[in-house]
Amino acid sequence: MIMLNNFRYLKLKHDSGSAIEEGIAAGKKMSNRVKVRLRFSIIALITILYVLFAFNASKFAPYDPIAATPSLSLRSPDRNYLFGTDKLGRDVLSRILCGAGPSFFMAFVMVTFVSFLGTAIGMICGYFGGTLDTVIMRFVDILLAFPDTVFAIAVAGMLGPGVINAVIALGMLSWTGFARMARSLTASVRESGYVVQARFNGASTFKIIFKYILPNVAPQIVVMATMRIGSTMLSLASLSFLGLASQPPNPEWGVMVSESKAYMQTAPWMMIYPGLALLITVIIFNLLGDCLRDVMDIKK
Amino acid sequence: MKKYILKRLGQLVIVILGVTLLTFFVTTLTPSDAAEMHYFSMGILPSAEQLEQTREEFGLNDPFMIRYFNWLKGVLRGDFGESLIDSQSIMTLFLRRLPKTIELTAATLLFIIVLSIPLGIVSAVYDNRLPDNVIRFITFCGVAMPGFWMAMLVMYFLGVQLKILPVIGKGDIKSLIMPVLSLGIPMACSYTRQVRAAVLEELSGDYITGIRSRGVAEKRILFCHVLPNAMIPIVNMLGLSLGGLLGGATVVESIYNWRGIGSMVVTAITNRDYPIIQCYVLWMAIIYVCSNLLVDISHYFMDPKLRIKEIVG
Repeated sequence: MIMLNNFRYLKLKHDSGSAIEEGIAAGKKMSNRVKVRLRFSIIALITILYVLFAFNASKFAPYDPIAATPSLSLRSPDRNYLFGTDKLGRDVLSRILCGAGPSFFMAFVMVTFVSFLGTAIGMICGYFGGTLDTVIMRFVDILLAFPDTVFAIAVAGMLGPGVINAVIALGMLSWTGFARMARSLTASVRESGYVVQARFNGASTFKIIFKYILPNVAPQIVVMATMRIGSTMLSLASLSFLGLASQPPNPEWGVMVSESKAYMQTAPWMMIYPGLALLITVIIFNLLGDCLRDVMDIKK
Repeated sequence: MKKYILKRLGQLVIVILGVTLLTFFVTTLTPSDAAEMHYFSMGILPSAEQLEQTREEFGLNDPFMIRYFNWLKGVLRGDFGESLIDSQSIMTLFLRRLPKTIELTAATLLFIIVLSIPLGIVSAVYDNRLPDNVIRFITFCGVAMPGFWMAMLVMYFLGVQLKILPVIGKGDIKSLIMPVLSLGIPMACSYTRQVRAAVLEELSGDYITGIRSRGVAEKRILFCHVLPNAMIPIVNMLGLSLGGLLGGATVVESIYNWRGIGSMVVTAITNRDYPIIQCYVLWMAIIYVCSNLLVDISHYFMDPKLRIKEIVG
């Protein structure tokens, strides 16, 4: 009977010609996956090259990024000074190059730390539930009420200006996103068949969380963390721009744009190039996040 | 529904108490104190007795909980205290700043809606074809745009290069354009992407295939069936943005010298003017709960499924 049914099914499919169509669709899907992987590989390569470059960029800098040479003040871009010079006669290109490494490093360290912390908190809340969960999630709700720049400004303002303080200020808010994500993912698989089975088989809570739940949570967290690197660099630069993070004379992009404010009419290159560097960096990390999501086949 | 709103308002009280208590606590932890800042702002180096006297005056010597309750009592009477820097009533200061922020918020939201919804729809309808690719490329770059840089570029191109707008506004409608563009363009980009995703999601629904097979015109499908459903997540986002914008656009306000809530709170933070910060925090909490409530209520009207649930039980 079953065979007959199968046969009929096959025949029906064959009749309508949909088997061929299905084959084509499957082929398309395959080639789509190949495309997605190819794109991911290219972007990943670009990112790796970018990071390597960022950390060694100061070696490529043609001039000293900090020492002032007043005689070269506000030179427009030419062959010797590709991006021009600033008020103190410092080469804008050299300053941009030297600013790349520290900005990325700070954002990377913060995002890594915060994603681990947020994931741990979120998974604990999602797995155990109860009062602890309610209290922490209400707390997260409250934190989310604040626009992140305002919150970071408030914390940075209280702790005093400085890069480390700015990173702490941003970190205090950004763990909440990871915690929420990890919590909802954990809660969604907590009662699923294989987790219940593992519990019946006497697996320890520790093992269940790490072996059965973490693999469900990790991909999304990795994607989210990648996306966050770009936005964290943006926020840090904004804080520097407001004078709360990196301080002059450090070659930081936000500081550079802030310094250019007074010379907008006479030396627009002081403002344009650092911003462009930041824009490109953020685009690279956003692209990486996008491709990573496609490769891991995660829906938004 | 009424019960729900009441429950939400109850939540408001809890959130407000929690948030204000937290900020009160944080402000007590900070190293420099308000009495010192009060003198520094006047350019006086205070003696120890003067400091002690001012602390007594500001009530800084009282225990933490007593100070908190005193503040809370004042708030219930509509008295937010005085600024530590220039002894102005905070309520007046706040109410003077608020219209500017509301103006900016309304204009920016309008800009976002007008720009992003049509673009998002076009992008979704031309999925993976030229218009879509162009829109996606531009919005992708726009999302990555540093806000402060955007503001300066707008100022540079419109104010310095083309000279069509004054760099420093006089407070008329013209001076609104540049801040709105700086705030709105990056936001509109992310909205366009969201609208596109939402419309595509709806277009792929089975009910659309059904309607299409009945021969309903594409335009009708798009505007009568897809859009109302696709707008639900967008309204959700708008609610969040409304809250964020009413909290003040710190960077843009400080660049354009816009005298709204955002620049007020930045000044207050640098001056450690705690009563203003407290008032601001309270404002944020109220906005947060209210904008969430607004979103939920609008869901109720936009999503028939929710209404049916209520009738069926």
